[in-house]
Amino acid sequence: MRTLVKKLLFLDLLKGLIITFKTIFTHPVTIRYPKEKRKPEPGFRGRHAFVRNPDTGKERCVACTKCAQVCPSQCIYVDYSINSETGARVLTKYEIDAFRCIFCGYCEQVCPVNAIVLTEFYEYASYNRQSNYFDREVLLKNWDEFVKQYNRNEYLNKFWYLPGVDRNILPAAKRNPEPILCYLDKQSHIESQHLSQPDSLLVQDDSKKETY
Amino acid sequence: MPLYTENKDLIEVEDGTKIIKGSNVIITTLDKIVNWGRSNSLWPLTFGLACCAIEMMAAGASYIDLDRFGILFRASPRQADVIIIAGTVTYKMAPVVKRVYDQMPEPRYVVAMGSCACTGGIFNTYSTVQGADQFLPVDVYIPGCPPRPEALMYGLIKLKEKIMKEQEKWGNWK
Amino acid sequence: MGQLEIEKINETTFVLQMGPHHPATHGVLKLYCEFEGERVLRIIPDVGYLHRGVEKLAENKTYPVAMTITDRLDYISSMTNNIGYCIAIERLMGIEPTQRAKFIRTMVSELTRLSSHLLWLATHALDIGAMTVFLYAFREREQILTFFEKICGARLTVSYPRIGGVRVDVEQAVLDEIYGFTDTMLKRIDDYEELLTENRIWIARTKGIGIISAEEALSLGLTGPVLRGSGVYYDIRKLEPYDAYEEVNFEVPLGENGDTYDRYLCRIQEMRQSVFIIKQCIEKMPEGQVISEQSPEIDMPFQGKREILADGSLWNGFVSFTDKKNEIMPKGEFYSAIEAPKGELGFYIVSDGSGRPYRMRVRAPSFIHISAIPKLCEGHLLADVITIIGTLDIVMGEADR
Repeated sequence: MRTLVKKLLFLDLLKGLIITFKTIFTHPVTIRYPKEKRKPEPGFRGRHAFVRNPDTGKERCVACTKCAQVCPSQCIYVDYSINSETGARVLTKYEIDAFRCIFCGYCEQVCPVNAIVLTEFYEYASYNRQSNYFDREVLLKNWDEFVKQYNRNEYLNKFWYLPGVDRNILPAAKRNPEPILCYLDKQSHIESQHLSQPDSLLVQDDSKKETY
Repeated sequence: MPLYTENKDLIEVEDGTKIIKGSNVIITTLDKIVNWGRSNSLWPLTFGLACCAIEMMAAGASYIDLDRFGILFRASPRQADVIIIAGTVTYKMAPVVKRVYDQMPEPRYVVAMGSCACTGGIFNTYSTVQGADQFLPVDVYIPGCPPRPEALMYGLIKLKEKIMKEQEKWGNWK
Repeated sequence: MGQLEIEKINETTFVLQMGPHHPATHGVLKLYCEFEGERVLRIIPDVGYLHRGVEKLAENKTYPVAMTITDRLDYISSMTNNIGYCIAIERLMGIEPTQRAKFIRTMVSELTRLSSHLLWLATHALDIGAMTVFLYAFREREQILTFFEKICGARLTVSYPRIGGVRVDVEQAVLDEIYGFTDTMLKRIDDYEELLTENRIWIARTKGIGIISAEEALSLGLTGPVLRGSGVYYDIRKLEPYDAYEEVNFEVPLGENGDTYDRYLCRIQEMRQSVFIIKQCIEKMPEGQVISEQSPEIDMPFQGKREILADGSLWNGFVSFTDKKNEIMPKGEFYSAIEAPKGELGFYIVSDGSGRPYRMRVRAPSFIHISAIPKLCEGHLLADVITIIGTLDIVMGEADR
């Protein structure tokens, strides 16, 4: 008898219709892109950038080529030359093919000096292939754009210091890294100096002579 | 040699080219109307092959709603404007993609979404085509593995800007 | 290239090729169907349109690096693929992950099971015609993907587990958010059931479709919810527990008839049990490290052991490779399986002592379920073929590898 009443009065369909009727009065969850944007969580793996050393204004990479060895899709190309006086490595070429990258984050985890980072920037679609083939200067410029966009004074990535992992396993520079200072005033000061003076006058410490 | 024209209102712009006086205004206005219509009602073809298809579905669902921009997913290539290649293209699948692309009426655009459609990505193997632009003319490349739904949205906005800049792609003067 | 050539049964049958580009085939799968009127006579599936050479690619990369490739096999539930691979290598090497890592891995596995079943529900209902469920399920799925982003930085293809633990620790604030999410999730599952379970249209379209008995299912090699819908009690989480599944209480739902409606009820109940497991994991989570000390480092060498010399330089020691006779991994072969949302996902690894796998073979459940389509579709109509593909929950990324 009950099932006959249910069948005649369409009670099973009405139950579903009541649920959809109730959602008319709830607030919609749509985010109106591009006027409102969701902030990506800290640690999101987006566009690559070279961290700028706030003292010298250049990159921190020491050409150990660990990132090129560990990359799963082999999209990093590193070349270095050896300084004849001190025996240190000098970086000559560093290129990343961003279209091959799978954004796994292994390069930023394995780098011993925390030179490369995957920033939280994700809007960089392009009309041709060349504009997403990053070399050294473009990677540094990506860092400047990222800092300017998020307007922050210091930055520390979770994958640089790996919370929860035993400190003895990690190399020395990763045990307690400090946040990178990225003052905007200091950067614009360094940028204006780049434009007005030649390169040889800007290098401050003479122990590492860099040959370009 | 003196010019001989029947209608004295034609103006010579360059050697051998004559236009009607004041016609630039009509043609550029028509350009703007046609481009506005095309770019605000892009109808993509659902061509999800692999992981990027899941993010394309998420872009079509509630959080980032593609329907606000006039984008309706159509299943038939005869009714579609743009093809979004989302996923890896293999050698066995490439003739199928080409056949579907040939069935689309002009004007048609191609968007390569994700690492595998742009350059083959991590799959540098014997059976993968290294990028969809080996056999199709790609308009916009969207990086990411997979790209966020907002990144796909940004790529489609860049396609809209590209369409708005087109000139005289209607009528007989293509 | 590689097209099938098939002869028709007799001259009066109607041949329909549901080709690789089709909105309802959940990826690129070609079905060659022969009909008599509207009844199915014969179906031959054609796979291989997404073969990317995953197993060959893994032979050129070291063990930690090859984990990023296993992400992309079953791309809807990528955490469980990684965990399956890590468990196989941990058993080969004899490493035990830490306690906190076990609980984190269990919690993340169950979140993945939730998101995979939500996507299954969305696409299955969309194929049958219920479009509201698609939008509701994706709304919940977005919240789960945001949790993944907070934990490890990527939404879909994460590489979060490591051999011997996980990559980084989960903060307490994120755990509290997930706990609050579980309460709303239980209410939402009740909503889905009210929309579908007693709906006369849903019952008419799914009851009696695709019936398979228990003996036939076992002989075809089906696993997962497809097998449990026919009444066979086979769940690897209970029979051979891994990670922290021994320390949480949950039930395994079973079906009776073996048709589509029972499989649907099975999966809905599994979603509820997943929510209970997540709650228990968060309540019982111990403190400690998240990766064990014996786990291999991420830039493992291809051959030879690494020696650290006494005079230090940038990274705690200078690296030199010893001769190639030293073994990094034990030699041998090993097979281990876990309970993925789609079925039993197994990894068979052959190791020859160096840092690269000699052979990595994936036992994918979707590949075996595709071979069951001709048996399930006998005598049904054209519209039921779509329902049966949906209920088997096929993902072409792992069927073709």
